Amino acid sequence: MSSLSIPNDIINKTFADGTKLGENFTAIEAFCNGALQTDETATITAAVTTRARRFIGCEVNNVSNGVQVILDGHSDAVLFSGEVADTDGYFDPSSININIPLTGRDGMYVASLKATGNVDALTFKVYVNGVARATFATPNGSYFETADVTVACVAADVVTLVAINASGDSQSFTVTGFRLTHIGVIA
Amino acid sequence: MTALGLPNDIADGQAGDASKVQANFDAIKTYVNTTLPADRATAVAAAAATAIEAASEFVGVEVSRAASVAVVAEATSTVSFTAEVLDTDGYFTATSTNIVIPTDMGGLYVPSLKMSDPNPMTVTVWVNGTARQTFAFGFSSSYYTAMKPIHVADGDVVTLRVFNATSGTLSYTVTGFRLTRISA
Repeated sequence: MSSLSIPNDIINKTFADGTKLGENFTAIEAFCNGALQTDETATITAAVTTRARRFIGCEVNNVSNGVQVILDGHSDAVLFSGEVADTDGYFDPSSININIPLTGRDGMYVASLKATGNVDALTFKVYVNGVARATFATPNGSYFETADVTVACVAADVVTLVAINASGDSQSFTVTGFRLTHIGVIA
Repeated sequence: MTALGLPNDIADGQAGDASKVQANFDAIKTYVNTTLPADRATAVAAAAATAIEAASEFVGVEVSRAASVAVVAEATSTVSFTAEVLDTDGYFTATSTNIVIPTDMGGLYVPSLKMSDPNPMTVTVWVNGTARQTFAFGFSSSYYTAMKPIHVADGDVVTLRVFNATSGTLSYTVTGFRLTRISA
C-alpha cells in the first residue's frame, strides 16, 4: 500500500506557521481521499481466482522403488516412494498411504494414474479406508488416465492404490504417477 | 468510499485557534478509526463476492458444427468445428478441427457433447493424435453427455472423431462440444 507523507515538521519553540500546519492537513486529506480510496476489486478478484483455480491435491509414484512385483492371486497396495506434488501434506513418504488432510480438504477427488510394466494383466483400484471405490481402465506411461468415477473423501480418510493380479502369473509394474485432484467440497 | 472532509482550513496570518486544529485532528481520527474501516470492510466484502463469482465461472471452450456431415460406411470423420459458443481463453479459432490448450491452461477437463442422433456412430476425444476416451452412446442434441475427466497440457491439440461402423452412410451435426476446466 501507499504510505502517508507529511510535508512539514512542526517544531516546538519556532515561529507559529499556520501554512505549514495547513499543508500537513491537506496532505493527510489528499492521502485519505486518494490512495486509500483505491478500488481493489481487480486485485482481489485476481488473487481469489488464481487460488481457486490452482491444483489442490497430491501426486505420488513408486519410480525410485523400481518395479513392484505382484504374485498371482494377490491384491497389493502400491508402495509409493516419491512425491511430485502435495499441496496440503497428503503423503507421508514413510507410509504407503495418502491421508486426506484434517482441515479443509473434504470433498470430491478425481483419481488419475500413469503406469508402466505388465499393466495389461493387472487391475488398479482406488481404496478408501480399505474399501474399493474406483477402478482404472488399463493405464499407460504417456498420460494420466482418470478413474471411472470420482471419489468422495473426508478428513483423515486413508487412500491407497491397490494392484490386483488375477492373470495366472507374477507380474511387475511401476506407477509413474498417481494423482488425486480435489475438485470441490461436499456441501 | 466516503471521503475525508476537514472542517477547517489552517492558514498563515490567522489568529491562533487551537480549537480549529483540534477539530481537524478529531475529524481525521474519526475517519481513520471508524469511517475508513467500515467502508473498507464493505468494499472488500463486495470485491470478494465478485471474485468468488469470477472464480466459479465456466472456464474452457465450447464449439459447434451446424452443417450436417455425411460419413460413409467404415469411415472416420474428424469434426471440423465452424462456430465458437464459449471460449474463455482463446482455445479455438473457427473454422478448425483443433482445440488448442492455451498457455497456463493445462489441467483437468471434463469433455461433454451435444450431438444430433449419431447412433450407432462412435465418438472419441483425441489428444495430440491419440485416442483418449470414447463417449457412451445415448446422445441428445438437447442436453450434454459428459465423460470422465481428461488430463491435457499446455499446447495439446484436442479433436473429436466420429466413426461410422455401419454398412451405410450416416450423418451428424455437433450442437455443442465442450471442454470444462475443473482443475489446474
